[in-house]
Amino acid sequence: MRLLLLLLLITSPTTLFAVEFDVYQSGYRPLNIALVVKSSDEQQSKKQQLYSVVKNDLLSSQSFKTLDPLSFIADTESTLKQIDYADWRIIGADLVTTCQLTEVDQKWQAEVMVYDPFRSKQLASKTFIRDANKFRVLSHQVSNFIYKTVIGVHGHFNSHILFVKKHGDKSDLIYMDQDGANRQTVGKNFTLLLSPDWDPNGRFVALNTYVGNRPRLETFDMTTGKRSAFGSFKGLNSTPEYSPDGRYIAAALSYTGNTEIHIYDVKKGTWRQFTRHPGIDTTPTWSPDGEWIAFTSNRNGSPQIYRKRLSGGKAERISLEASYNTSPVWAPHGDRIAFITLKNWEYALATVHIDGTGLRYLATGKRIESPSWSPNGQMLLYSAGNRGLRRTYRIPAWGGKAEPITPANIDASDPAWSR
Amino acid sequence: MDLKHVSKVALIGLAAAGLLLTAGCQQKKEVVSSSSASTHAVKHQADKPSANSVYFAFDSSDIDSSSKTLLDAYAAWLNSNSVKTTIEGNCDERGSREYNLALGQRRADSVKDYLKAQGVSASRIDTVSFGEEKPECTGTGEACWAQNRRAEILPR
Repeated sequence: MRLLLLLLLITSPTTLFAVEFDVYQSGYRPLNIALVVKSSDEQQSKKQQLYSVVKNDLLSSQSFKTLDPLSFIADTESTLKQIDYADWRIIGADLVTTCQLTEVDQKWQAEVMVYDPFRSKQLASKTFIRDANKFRVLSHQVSNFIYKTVIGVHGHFNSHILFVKKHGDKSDLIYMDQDGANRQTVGKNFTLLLSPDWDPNGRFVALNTYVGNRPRLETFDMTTGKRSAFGSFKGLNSTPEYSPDGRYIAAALSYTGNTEIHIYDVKKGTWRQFTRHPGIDTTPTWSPDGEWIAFTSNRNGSPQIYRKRLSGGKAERISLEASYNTSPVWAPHGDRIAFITLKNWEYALATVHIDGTGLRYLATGKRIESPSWSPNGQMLLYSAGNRGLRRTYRIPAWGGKAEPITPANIDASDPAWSR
Repeated sequence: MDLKHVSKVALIGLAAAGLLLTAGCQQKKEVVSSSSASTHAVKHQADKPSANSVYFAFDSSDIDSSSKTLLDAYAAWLNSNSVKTTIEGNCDERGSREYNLALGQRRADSVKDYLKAQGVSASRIDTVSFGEEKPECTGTGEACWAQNRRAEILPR
């Protein structure tokens, strides 16, 4: 015992390692959910597929824990016919979801019910029908329905993610479903590829690439694969960001002799200058109402986050802590801005209220970059990694565990979540 | 071989040696023709400095005094040769890649501004930033990072 105490005394001083950030952890306890899926005997594989997609969706949100079917007391048949709440309370199920899966005229139909055993109440029910080739979409719809019913927020399970895969001097643009399925290369062999951003309709991607050692801004049409340049000024053409209505793209250009935020009118094909300050202004992000742009500026010496009204006025500083804050991304619900902060060369992903209060550090790590919100504002993506390969991670915006969503053997940076 | 040519060669040789000795210090050389047959003055002559990078402190685009010495030599060379140059701004891996793109641009622009102030026409100088995407040294640590926080002057 004394030896143990001594060991503790020797090893306990954590001041040896400078930990700069107190990572926020919410007190949220995931809800226990029982998923009960039924299909005809010939369709067991489809049933299994739906079950695993929904289970994976719910687990990945970190808002749910799925109960092991081996622990179920009630059998599937009788639960679908008439649920006995007591059977589910006994195993600690906060929620029960039943799903009757049937094939009708080459389409799949999922009849979903959500129950709360502790209140002996059916919370919601809905039937979804999809073509056979949209089976994963159907499964994600079931997840979205459960999520909306229980959490009260739209599910993000039918959304998509883009990221940049760098190999040698070249970069590819990779597309995948939010759960990693359907992963495919949509753009190949770009000479540098940075800051891809989705238009709100999910058809176009604005990006920054280099052609013949010249940076330029392009849109990439994901339905045709066509690339079109829309910004190739002298000097810097960088960090494109679509407005919430898709009408404009804000970007950082330096042709005036200094890096400023400019706004491109997608419809008219014209540019206008937005910021005018001798400091660097870059990485614009729009407020969800389209009335503000937040950006990184070093106007007071070191990079910090500011916001400014589209209609004009003074830039207001948002980030108040640390001497190096960059890469702001406005949350889809507008209440917070996610950004990257550095203290003594430790990186953290953080969020803060628009007025600079309520700072939360969500994740720390080596070279954390490029935050991106899920369309419902519940999750964040970022890339991190020291030398060599970077990975893209997903973390709940309300504090939780960071989980990698890209393979360990590829370099995956610049994640962008569809809106 | 005429006298003019000889003197030129000798002077260039001397100038090159001088440059080596002073490790990139400014060398303004004037070649005075000794040939009475010459009908017009010989142009100013300056050698291309052997180094082509200037370096910066972290998150800074300020040009320090040793960089000024090299840039003065570049300005002299550019002013005596009708070449065009591209200045490439670069950063170390620390901090945001997107912010570093702008910082690299600012480094390239501040070199351009300095050369302009020395009389080099702006139309002959192009700038581009690669941020932290083109490191000279791919290791970690200040020795490496210091090599990456640079602006390179390249003829094009």
